[in-house]
Amino acid sequence: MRLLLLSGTGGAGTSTIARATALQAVADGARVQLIDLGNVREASVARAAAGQWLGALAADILVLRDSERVLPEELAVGPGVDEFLALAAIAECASDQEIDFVVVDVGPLGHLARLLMTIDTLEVIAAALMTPAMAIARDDVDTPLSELRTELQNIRECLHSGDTAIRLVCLPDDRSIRELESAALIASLYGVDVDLIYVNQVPREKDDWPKSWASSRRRQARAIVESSAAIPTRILPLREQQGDAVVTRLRVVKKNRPVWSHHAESDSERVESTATGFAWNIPVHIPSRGELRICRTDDRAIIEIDGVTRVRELPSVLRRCIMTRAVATPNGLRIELEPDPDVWRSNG
Amino acid sequence: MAERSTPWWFSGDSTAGEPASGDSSTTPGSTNPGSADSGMSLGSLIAGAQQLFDWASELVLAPHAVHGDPREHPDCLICKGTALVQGVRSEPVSPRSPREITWIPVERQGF
Repeated sequence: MRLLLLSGTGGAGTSTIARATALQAVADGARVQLIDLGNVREASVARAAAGQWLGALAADILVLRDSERVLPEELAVGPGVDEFLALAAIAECASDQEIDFVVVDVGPLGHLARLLMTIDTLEVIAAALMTPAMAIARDDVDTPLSELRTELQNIRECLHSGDTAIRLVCLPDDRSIRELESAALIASLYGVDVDLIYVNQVPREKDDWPKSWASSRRRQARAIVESSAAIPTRILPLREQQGDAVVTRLRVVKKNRPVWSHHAESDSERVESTATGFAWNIPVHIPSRGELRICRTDDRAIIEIDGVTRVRELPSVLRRCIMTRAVATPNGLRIELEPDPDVWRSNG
Repeated sequence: MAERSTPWWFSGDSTAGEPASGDSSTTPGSTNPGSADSGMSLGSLIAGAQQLFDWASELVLAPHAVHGDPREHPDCLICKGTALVQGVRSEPVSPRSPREITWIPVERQGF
């Protein structure tokens, strides 16, 4: 594995586990880079470095519509800017041949969701702006937009690589199951494997904890393990004294094999021909409950699963087809398409 | 006597406005722009340009100086041009037809 993203419920010990993982990897002889996305100082430095470029681009685009010029500094705090900069930093580290292993402490699960969604959002905006008219009229804007799309493509390749995985961290409480399900769904829909869930701070039977409380925590930990059947879990014990970390090193460099993976041979995304047209198979771990909606607009499909939405560009072969129906199974979506009679000439 | 082929308005002499009688030896093929012989001099060109500028100033620029909203002065050349440019700028960069969203039925299997 080359890139490991760690994210968890608030206060679950994500940073501790990220540090322990990095320390063990160093002890094993790997060249490791630990990135802390929660570090405010580093984030502000990154904004200062790259926000100028991104902000200037956005300011130029806004000026096209006769608006007042917006300063790059004003746009640096906009939604998606920090996420983009963080992703660019991660992709740069992951492509560095001097580094064997990159551990990223993403922070809370909400940050992970925004991180994964940012790429699609920026790609949709960039594609909408990169019209032929723009290319002719504003070469000075079109060129940075092309660079932005190239950078987004690099980030996407990095995240969707088989060498990348997400690990989730939670506490043994009753809120964790729902939050983990949501995070796993987002990761799955955005094409990144969750290969392990840490259930942290579970009291051991041999330690001296209040019995009913400890018993309740252990029961909730078991419930999390049972509900996460598709993803391997690991229980980490609760430290006995404040400041006495039980988890100091974690040897988890090798990627765990989840029951379901984006990179499994049988589950990889593909387009296949059928008797009536084509079928677009998209691997995604679909929960048994929750609303499922799919629509088509222009050359994009919008997939909404239990409140999580992703916009996907249609593979080029499918753009002259009509989406007719979709079949959802626990391991993926199968969208069926037929040639558009308005575009394709009938053989008859 | 050979007919002079040089246009009458190339001449900057006092007979401008009428075909000028010139050197009969001047042939169309040997006309040398800018030479005194051809009747076309740099001075005459500058003078012509100055006259054109004066005319534009008098007839176009001076009246336009008091124009406010270009749309209220469709007969003014500058207002007409300004309105045209503003119209182009206010149009979308890439006008497109309204986009449609098509929902498809989704069937669950194997849950």
